[in-house]
Amino acid sequence: MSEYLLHILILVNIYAILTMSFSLVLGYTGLPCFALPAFFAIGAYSSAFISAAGMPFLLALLLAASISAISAYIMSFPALQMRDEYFAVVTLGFSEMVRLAFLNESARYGSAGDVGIVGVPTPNIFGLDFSSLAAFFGLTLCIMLVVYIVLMRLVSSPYGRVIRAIRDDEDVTDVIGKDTRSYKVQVMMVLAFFCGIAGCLWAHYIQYVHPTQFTPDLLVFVLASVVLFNENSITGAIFGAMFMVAFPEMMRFFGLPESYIGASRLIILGTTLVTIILLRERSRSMGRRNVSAS
Amino acid sequence: MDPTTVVVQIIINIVAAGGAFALVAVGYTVVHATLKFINFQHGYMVALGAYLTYQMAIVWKWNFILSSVLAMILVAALGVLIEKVGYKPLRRASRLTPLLVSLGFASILQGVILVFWGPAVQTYRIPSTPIIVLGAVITSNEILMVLLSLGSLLALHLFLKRTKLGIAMRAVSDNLDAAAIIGINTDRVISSIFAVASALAALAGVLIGLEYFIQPTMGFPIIIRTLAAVTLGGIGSITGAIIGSFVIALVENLGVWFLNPAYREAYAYLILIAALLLRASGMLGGKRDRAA
Repeated sequence: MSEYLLHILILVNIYAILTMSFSLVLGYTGLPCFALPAFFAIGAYSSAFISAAGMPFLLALLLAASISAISAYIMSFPALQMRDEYFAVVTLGFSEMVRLAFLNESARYGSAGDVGIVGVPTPNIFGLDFSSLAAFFGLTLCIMLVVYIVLMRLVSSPYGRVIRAIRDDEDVTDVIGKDTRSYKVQVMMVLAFFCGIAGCLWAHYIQYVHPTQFTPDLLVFVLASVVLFNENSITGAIFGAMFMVAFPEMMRFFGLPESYIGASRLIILGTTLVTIILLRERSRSMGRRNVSAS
Repeated sequence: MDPTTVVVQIIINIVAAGGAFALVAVGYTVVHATLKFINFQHGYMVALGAYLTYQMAIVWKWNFILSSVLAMILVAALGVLIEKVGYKPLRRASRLTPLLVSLGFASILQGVILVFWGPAVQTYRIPSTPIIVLGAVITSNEILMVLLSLGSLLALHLFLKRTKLGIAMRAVSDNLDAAAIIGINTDRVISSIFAVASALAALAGVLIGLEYFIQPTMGFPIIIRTLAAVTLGGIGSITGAIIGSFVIALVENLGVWFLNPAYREAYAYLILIAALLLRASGMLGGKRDRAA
């Protein structure tokens, strides 16, 4: 039982890194960067290759995250030409193209392509073996907390004020002299870097990397988690991840057969997303009714 | 293979596929022109139409035409329900919000399909007679697809031009507020728009199930192709959506035939991104994305 609990907590930690960084991008900067699954995938695949080539874990971690950040930089050139919802669509398109590329091309590079990469070695940092569940949990928890602290410091700093200004009114922020485009690129790279870290943790935990782990479903998961508490709350993102991981798992205890867990997860994610947004809008429009003459 | 045969075969595939895409794209366009948001769940209405028909006609062995029509009605009703529950409250919100909601509905629909029909790929397994034309094979199912899709598009065109509701739909999709001012019941018309769009999507699903295969994840690639077609053809233009659909079918078939078949979906993505970028460089906004 405690093994199961540790497993869930490890997943929560990894997903929390994703949701926190997505909260930074969507909630604080107003950028619906739907390329998140791609950054996660690039982190997972790169770290798997690097580790399999015999490199130490920490190196794989940093390299994978950096590769992910660089891909975000490249992606930002075409993507940032779009506004709001089309930015979302373009980044989602990139995400899917990356996934398709991994699906079809990884066969060439020593993994079994469609079957995914198997047998990623367990991490070994400075001679300490992290292959036990408890140790891995400790590792993910530490990294998650580091990411949390970094992001919290970031958003409460002057930098955080600028990106919130970009979210609230980009034109004004531009006019007062801030290079909004470069802030947006940076934020996307931060997202990618952390997603790359999460991807590396994922690859080394599940020890199996496969394109189906990086579909838009992951994006909906992150969206639902972030929206659940408040999209511009880093702390809320952690709780969101906790809830969205825990809820479908609880279905298991209500007797739901294993084969339906995946489907129930989709339904729960979708319903949460829809309900929260509708409830938010309801309370927002009540306020509106009191203020304006419409 | 003899080059003429290849060309004819490709053309046939393109016309059949393009016709089905066009049904989806036209429905999507009208909804988008009216409510101005990107509706991701539209692709899953297609999937639902395909699966419902599968359930009725193949599993329960009802009459095929009856099943298709019933599926269309059910999906249309669902579309109206989704609009009332999910999109009507969001009419004054930013454009990103209904997009997120549509992703939510898409997720729910995919989950529901998985629950009822499982993750396996299915086909209708309706036998059709192949006809040889210049060495290429057309199946009677494909001919049915083309006739039905072109016929429906024609019917839709007449409906929009000649009937009172159709004209009201065009008014509402053109300018929602102006239509409300002149006394059109915009809520009812919007519901009808959703009903028609969903019904067309369901029909496309039936056609796809007839000739190709269906799987629970089919909704997403469909909506991507639709977005690509609509962006190419000009957002808000029905004729543009139709032309765009055939172009997408063309590129996809050419890509699959001559380049790498595994990247089938990627071709639509590429066109979508390219089309969006072209528009962005020519339209207001230019280098920066704007919040308008």
